[in-house]
Amino acid sequence: MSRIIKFLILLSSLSLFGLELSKQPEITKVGKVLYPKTMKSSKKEGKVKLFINLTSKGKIKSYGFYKSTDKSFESSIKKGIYKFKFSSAEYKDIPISVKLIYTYNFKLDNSADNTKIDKVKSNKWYKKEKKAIDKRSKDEALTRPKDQDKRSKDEALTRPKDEDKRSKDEALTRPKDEDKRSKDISTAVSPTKKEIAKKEIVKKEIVKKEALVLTKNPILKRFVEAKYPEELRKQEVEGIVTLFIDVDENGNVKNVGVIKSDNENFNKAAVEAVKKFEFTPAEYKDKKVPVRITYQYNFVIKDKKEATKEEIKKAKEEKTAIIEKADYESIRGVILGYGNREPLSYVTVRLISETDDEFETVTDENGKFLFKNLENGDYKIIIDPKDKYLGYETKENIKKGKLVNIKISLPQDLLNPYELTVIKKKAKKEVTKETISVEEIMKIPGTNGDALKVVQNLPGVSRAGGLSGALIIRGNNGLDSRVFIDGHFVPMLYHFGGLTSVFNSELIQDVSYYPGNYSAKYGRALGGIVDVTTKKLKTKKDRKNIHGYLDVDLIDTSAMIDIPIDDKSAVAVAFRRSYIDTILPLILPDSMNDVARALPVYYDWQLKYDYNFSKKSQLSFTHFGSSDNFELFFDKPVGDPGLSGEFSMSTFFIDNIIAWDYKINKKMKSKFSMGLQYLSQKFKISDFIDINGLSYITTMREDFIYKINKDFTLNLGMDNWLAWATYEFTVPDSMPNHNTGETGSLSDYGRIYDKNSMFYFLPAVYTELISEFGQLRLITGLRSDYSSENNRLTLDPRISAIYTLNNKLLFKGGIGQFHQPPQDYQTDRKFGNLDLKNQYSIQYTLGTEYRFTDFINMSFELFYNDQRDLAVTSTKKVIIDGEIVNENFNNDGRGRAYGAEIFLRHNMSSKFFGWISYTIMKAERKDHDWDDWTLFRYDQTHILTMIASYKISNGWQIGTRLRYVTGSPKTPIVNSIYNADSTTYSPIYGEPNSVRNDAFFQLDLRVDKIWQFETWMLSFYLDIQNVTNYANQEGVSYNYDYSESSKVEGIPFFPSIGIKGEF
Amino acid sequence: MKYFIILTILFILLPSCGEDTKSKANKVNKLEVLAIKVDKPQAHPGDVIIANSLVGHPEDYSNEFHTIWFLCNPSDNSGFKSCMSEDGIIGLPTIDNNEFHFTVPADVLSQGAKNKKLYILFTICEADMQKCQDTMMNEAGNGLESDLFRFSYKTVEIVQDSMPIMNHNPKIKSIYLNGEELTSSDISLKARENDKENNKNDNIFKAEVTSDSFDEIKTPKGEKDFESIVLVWKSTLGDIKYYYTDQKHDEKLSDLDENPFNTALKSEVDTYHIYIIAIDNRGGVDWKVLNITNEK
Repeated sequence: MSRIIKFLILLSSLSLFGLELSKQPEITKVGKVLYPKTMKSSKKEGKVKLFINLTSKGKIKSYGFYKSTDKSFESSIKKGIYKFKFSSAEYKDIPISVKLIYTYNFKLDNSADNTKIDKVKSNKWYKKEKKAIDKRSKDEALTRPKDQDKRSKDEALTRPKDEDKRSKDEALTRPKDEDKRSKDISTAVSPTKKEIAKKEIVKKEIVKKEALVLTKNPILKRFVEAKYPEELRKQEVEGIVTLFIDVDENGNVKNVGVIKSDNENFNKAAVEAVKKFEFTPAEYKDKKVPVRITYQYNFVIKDKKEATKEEIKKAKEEKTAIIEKADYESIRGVILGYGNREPLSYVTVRLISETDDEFETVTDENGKFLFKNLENGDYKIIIDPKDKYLGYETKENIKKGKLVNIKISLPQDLLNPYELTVIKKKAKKEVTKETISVEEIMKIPGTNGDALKVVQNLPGVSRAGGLSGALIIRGNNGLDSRVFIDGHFVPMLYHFGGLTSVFNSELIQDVSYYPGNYSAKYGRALGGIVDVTTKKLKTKKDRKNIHGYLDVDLIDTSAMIDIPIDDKSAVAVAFRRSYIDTILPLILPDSMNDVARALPVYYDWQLKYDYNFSKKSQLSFTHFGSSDNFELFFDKPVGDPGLSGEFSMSTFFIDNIIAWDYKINKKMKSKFSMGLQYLSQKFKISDFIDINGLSYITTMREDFIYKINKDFTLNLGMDNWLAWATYEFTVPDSMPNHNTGETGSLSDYGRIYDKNSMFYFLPAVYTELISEFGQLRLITGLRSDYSSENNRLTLDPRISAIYTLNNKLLFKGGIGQFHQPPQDYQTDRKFGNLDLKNQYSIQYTLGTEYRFTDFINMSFELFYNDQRDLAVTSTKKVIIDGEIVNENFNNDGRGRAYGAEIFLRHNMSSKFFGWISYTIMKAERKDHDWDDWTLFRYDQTHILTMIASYKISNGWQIGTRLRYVTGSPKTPIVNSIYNADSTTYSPIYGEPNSVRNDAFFQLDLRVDKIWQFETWMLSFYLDIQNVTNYANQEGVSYNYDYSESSKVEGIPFFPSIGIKGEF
Repeated sequence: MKYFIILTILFILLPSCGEDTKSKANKVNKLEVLAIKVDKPQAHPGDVIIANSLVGHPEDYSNEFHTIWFLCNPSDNSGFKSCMSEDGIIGLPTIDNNEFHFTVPADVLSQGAKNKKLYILFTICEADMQKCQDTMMNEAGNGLESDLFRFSYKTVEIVQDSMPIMNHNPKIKSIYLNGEELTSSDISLKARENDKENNKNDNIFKAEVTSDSFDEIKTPKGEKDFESIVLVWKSTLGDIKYYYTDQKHDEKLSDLDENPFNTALKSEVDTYHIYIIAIDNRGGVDWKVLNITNEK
């Protein structure tokens, strides 16, 4: 296969040309369009490029603008557009809807010729109507009486000779564009077009737009010529066979079928040849995906006479010689986005010569494009406006054989950030996994641009009360779900009060959220997993410029700079600090300012360095840390005679992760990574609670992927933790009941103290086999964990299956076991129980996903989480080594959570994006088998989140979020008892978790405005939380003896503004 | 645990941020138990213990109420919780007596046990006796959920005969008003004209316990320290600023120990009360009651 033919196929595959119209639409009347007064007075000319959707009757159904010299020209077009008249387009002589590309020129001397249509394209109505016409034709053909064929033949025989002549004349007077259409392949490559046109077989490929827009189209890399059927050649019969080709994720042809054919005797030859084709894999978001493409195989006889094999060979050699001789670069370019100067990939670049020959190419992943073999002359370089960027046009003079380098800065359509916000991958491993692409979700209301806060809006995530930053997934305890960064455990996801996350959103590639039935790759969590993948930095090979930003809002300031060092390495640094500590004193009463020794303050920082040894081998180092600190000091006791002095909380951690990705060969890939974490936590409430913990945790992972063949992939890995921890604590001698939320007065308890150092080792190995059986994908996994704290070895089998019925509907289900070691304090040598077993859950998920349209899809899941051996407090005495001791904790606890989740999403269209997430669930606990089930404190029957975002225009965008959540259960206080030892009252509780807080309702609003400049961008946002100032109940506050109570209300109407400069 | 702590802090702070209209601990606005004192917070099996109660109520209170004393010996190590059922109750109740006498059962300590906590239950029922009995019977035998009852308890620690008893009840030595030591519990103060004078703070009280009230203790970490004495302040009328003040063993009274007091309004009754209760860490209790007369 010669390179020129490959190029030809590439070009044809990336365009949507070739409407098979039997009659082109025309402008029959140019409507009166007034010249804008302002433009006229300033003597300015201009043009407006627009698209018009025509009905099959030639009426205007809708229209829209691509670009214009000035908005006032657009206004004039709007007023006059419906005065235009068109003749209808026809397909197989039947009127059909089409989309027109039309440019209206405004000339001051009225010399503009506005009667020509630029281009005719298909649209959704065209596709539907065409399908209907084809079906009707087929049906008619099947039901046509046999004698009709004969009649046609007879008609031909009896047709007057002048009719033949008329046909010839028609051909001579045929519109030019029709001629152009017939030679579209040959005009795609300039220098050799004539030679190629002479070839016996011409091929044309159309890649249909799939439901999801591919980021990389498949390119035919191996073409096999079809054997021309001898009989047909002798009869000089030519024809086209339209086929569908199923190309798998490796670019291999899996299945071929004939859609239609001019002559069924061509079919076999075409199918046999196409089966031997090879393509480059199609990609969607950098992942290889299988696609179905439509391909037309044209059987054309050269000069209407049989060519010998020798002639064909000779022609091929001649053509190759010409091509190779003429192979030189003409235009090499790169397209960068306005503002952040990020390379724009997959942008279609059109080139039009003086003779109206048109060429087309697409930028690669680094925003680069290349045109070769251009003749002398002026060329227009045109980029048509698309969803993600605005249009562009320039002119270049080309001299044959000389290379022109150009750089294009393309204004981006920045208010289209939500496209594919949450991606459901086709080839996924987990039953439930939502992957969030961070670039696209920065403007969801109520999140202050924090990508990780979006997790709180996904199905299955309960609302943690008040300002708590706990991550509550499917009714599990906050400590039962884990957060990872690049597969390594981090102690927390959000800063104090859940205000913002601990990792900069700009350094995040995506956030994967697994509410349950997660892969064997992960473990040590009874609930769900959130895994944050850091961004792969761009080296100078991919981007020359430094990228950075400064973001200032009412809560904190953050900054980031990303520097490509050379072709192999890049570094990025980010920092954020809150200034609540400087703002709060202005709004707090004086009495509070007296006691606030250190008001809430947080900061975090990140450093990332990437080094690419080669395409196969990459190293990355990520260093990050976070600090939260809060300290109050009360001179006099508050609420409790013992409660005075210091109230403080601080969490500080530093994490270092080094990862090495190595692609061993086409089938094997390895990722080895190590993390070293330093974690310091301090909590103090007067003299009653004083906890100081310090730990060094080393984590080590190996994730090895072996693709056995196209149907089987084996994942193997290890996931080890090695930790040394020391802690010192003074805590009440009886812990509050976690399940019911009972607290009581701290003065009611005695205090215990301990200081201990411990070393523990948590190694784990896993294996996972992904098997493809046609439409069924089966994932079987096995994970084994050991925990040295309590000397337990566990084995977790997991299985899940995904059955893809068709490209719209799939079914999925999974069952698996998930173990979690006890918390540190539960295995304390004095006050814990070293004999505790690991807690475990058996999780079941069953669901379906359905894609309604290209934009709207839905998933529905049922889940059941059966939790066993939960660690609960115990007052029993047990005999250990012959000694009677307190048991403190045992594994008698049970838990269960079950429910359903619906996630209905509308991906970003040109204007709108939104989703509805609804969960109905029940979560229950009991301390012993013989107890009755009681509601768990995170049971929230209904969790509804609705998000919508609408692009207005001129850089404005508005978004809203609405949340409704059933109030969390709580245990009522029915009376109180006076403790004369401490002079405090202790509550007397009613039935555990038998009442609820009021339901939570909140409406948030966000408005964004972006100003775009060539080298930087400025954005402003207003984010208002609780627009309706709804008084949400976050808890109950009692008076001193619990005889009176009132609601503790959450965030009132809370506006926040921010401004961000980005370069 | 972290979130528990955060929430605790927030719950302490949140009421401070807005106006809380709920009744405060430093005001006696209903019938309530203010303190229970025993002569021996620590005792041996067989000892006789005498308990007294301090009950307060608003000046215009006139309802009928009854008091009931019980002794509770918890059957297991679940502490006071088992006293909420009938399991741990021993002996017959003593009704409407200011004092409660009982003898610690000789067999209260199980074999080998060094100590055990007994609980003295003191309950006020704010109704006639018949209604009190009926309510208690209807409420599953304990009336826990009925607002007729005010429950309170006091701990007595019983130690082995071989162990010494370490009772060291605090004594309120002096009370100062505007820097002058009071010589009598009957004092006369200028009545407030109107509510706007609420923050005037004309009167500054301080209370001082005797220096030998402080015991040497060990912290949970095992370090040596001295206990601090907590002073509880309540008034039936007027506004005493702090519910608690505290006194360290080696600290002299300072500005930090001042407790400002706004007197009652002229329109209110002529005589009202301030209660000052001192408690230590070992169950020791002392109290003083000031009788205040409005100077009109």
